[in-house]
Amino acid sequence: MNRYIGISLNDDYTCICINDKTVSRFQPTVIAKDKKEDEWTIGEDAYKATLAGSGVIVDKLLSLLEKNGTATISRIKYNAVDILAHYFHELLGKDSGGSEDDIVAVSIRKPGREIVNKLKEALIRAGVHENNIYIVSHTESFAHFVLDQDSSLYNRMVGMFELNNQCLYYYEMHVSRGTRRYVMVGSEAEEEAFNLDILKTASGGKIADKILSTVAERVMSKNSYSSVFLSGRGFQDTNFATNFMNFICKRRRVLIEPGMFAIGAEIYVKNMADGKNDEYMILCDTRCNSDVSVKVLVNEKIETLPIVRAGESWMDTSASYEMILDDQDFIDFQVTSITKPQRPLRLRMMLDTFPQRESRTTRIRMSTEFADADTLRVTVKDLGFGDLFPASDKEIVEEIDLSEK
Amino acid sequence: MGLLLCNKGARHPFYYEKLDIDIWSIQELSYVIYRYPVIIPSDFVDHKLTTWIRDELSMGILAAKLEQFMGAGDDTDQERLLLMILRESNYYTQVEISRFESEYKKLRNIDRHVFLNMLGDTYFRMGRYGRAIESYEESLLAEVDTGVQMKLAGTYVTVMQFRKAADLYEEVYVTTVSQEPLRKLYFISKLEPSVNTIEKYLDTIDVETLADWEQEYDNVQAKAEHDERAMEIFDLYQKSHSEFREHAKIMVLKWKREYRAKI
Repeated sequence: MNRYIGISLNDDYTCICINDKTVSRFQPTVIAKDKKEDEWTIGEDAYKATLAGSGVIVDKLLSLLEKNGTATISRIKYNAVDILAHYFHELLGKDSGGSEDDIVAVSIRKPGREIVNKLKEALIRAGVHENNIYIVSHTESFAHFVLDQDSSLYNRMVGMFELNNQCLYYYEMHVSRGTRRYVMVGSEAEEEAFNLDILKTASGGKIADKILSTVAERVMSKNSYSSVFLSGRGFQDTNFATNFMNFICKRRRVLIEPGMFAIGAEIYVKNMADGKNDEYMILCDTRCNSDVSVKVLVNEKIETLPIVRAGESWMDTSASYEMILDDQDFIDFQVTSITKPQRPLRLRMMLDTFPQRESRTTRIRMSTEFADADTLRVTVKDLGFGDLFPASDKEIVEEIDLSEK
Repeated sequence: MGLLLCNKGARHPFYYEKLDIDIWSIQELSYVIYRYPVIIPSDFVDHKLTTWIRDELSMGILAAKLEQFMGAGDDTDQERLLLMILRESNYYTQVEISRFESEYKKLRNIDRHVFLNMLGDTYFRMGRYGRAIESYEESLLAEVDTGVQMKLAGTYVTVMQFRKAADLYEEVYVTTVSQEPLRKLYFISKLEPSVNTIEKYLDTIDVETLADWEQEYDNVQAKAEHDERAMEIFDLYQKSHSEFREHAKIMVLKWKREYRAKI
């Protein structure tokens, strides 16, 4: 039987949800290696092993990965991917798991191309099949989680507060039910983040309540919300935040799910495995928010060739097409933002530095790939026209800014 | 005007002997058919080509259609097969394809010597001078034509066979008493002083005409001296003699290769 696994990963803790979107469990993101044997323990067990003096602990694993760091344990140097591979191996119980196929989505705060590749490598080395690995952002996990709830919870704006150690984020989701149904999700870090240790005392709890109330009043102002969600370890118990809860509960429903990102990730892989298409196109930090196309001639008719489709993961979006220039030395791109479809942007890429040849004897290869979420890199290479008109191999590279300014 | 969307090209090319080139895509194949219909033989579309279209271009439907029509094997079928390739290539417009169709029909009804003359012209345009010479010679065997003789002589000049060229120009002059072959003979004597056929006919040319030819030759020579390639070599010679010698070796080899390719 397949296991559908959602993992929310940060330096502080890991939350995992396996096959059941109602159950998630937390554990510290730490790993320890036995000083003598090749045995690894994670979470609370890692702390225990370290306290017992039998293990050497490594923490802040995500930062280690981002910085390409290393850890030397018993005179052996491990790089970050090695450490993460052992961590995932233990987390997924790969030794005891038998032969089931794991389909895993890992949710992290800011998935860039480099860290995504490293996470994938670590998961592959932990025994997960390459095709069964997905990396999403917390923002995207939030969207998957909300869209899995009753639709009355997201018929207007949805807000969400994430509270973890030194981490306070506000998320917002807008739903559009026009001709193209989409949800637009964004998040912002709040400067008032605090250490969760202050919640251990009553006075600290009051300060925390005051901070949260101030932030909520500022970010929510008088907007109309269908629902507000609370997530993160800080909201495992909300008794300290009386004023905050009173404010956010006014005229809207409030739902608390500390393991929301892991559950959202699990919902995502389960839906994909079941072949369920998203009812709403999700526009967020991991998805393209515009359609990009080029006009081409096919049998003398002008057709639109889509290069990028809004709602696709920008990290997995790349394309390569071969075309022949018919009496023109440029490519016109049309960029249509989903949120402003009535005002498409037209951009021209000049190819006039390619060799001059008779019409229809210059073949080009146009490759597109995202440099980051807002930048589409276009590379056009002159292929000539076979042996008849040899290629110059000249390349022109330009970037298209897709950010909505 | 626009961008023609193409399939990916072949991983292995189709070698076309007549042109001595490798063809890598359906568009290149269409280009060769359209631009050089004279050199397309009546058995051009064969199983070797359809296999390449199927396996390398992944155009199985076109290959199957071509094979279906290949059975009869007469000239009409060949024309239909070529048109099928042009239509499927997303390269030429319907108007251009119709134009090709009528030109191709005309080609099939012309006299053999005219056909061979056109074949020679096509090879000459493509820089395949050896084959152009063969075609012009065959044309002349079928029917003597001073126009073809002039072209054949011009081709000999291009491959620096000045003696043969001079004999032909002289033959044309004797037949037509036209001044053009004499002009050519004059320039040959400039390029290769040992071929001095022109001396026999200098008395028949007035002084003014000779002065004009001399001026024309000087102009062309001056232009050639300032050609980018010539200037490059000259600069290299001025800069360093040893470097020039190294470069010269490479250039001579390159010119030899180019000359061999011409014939």
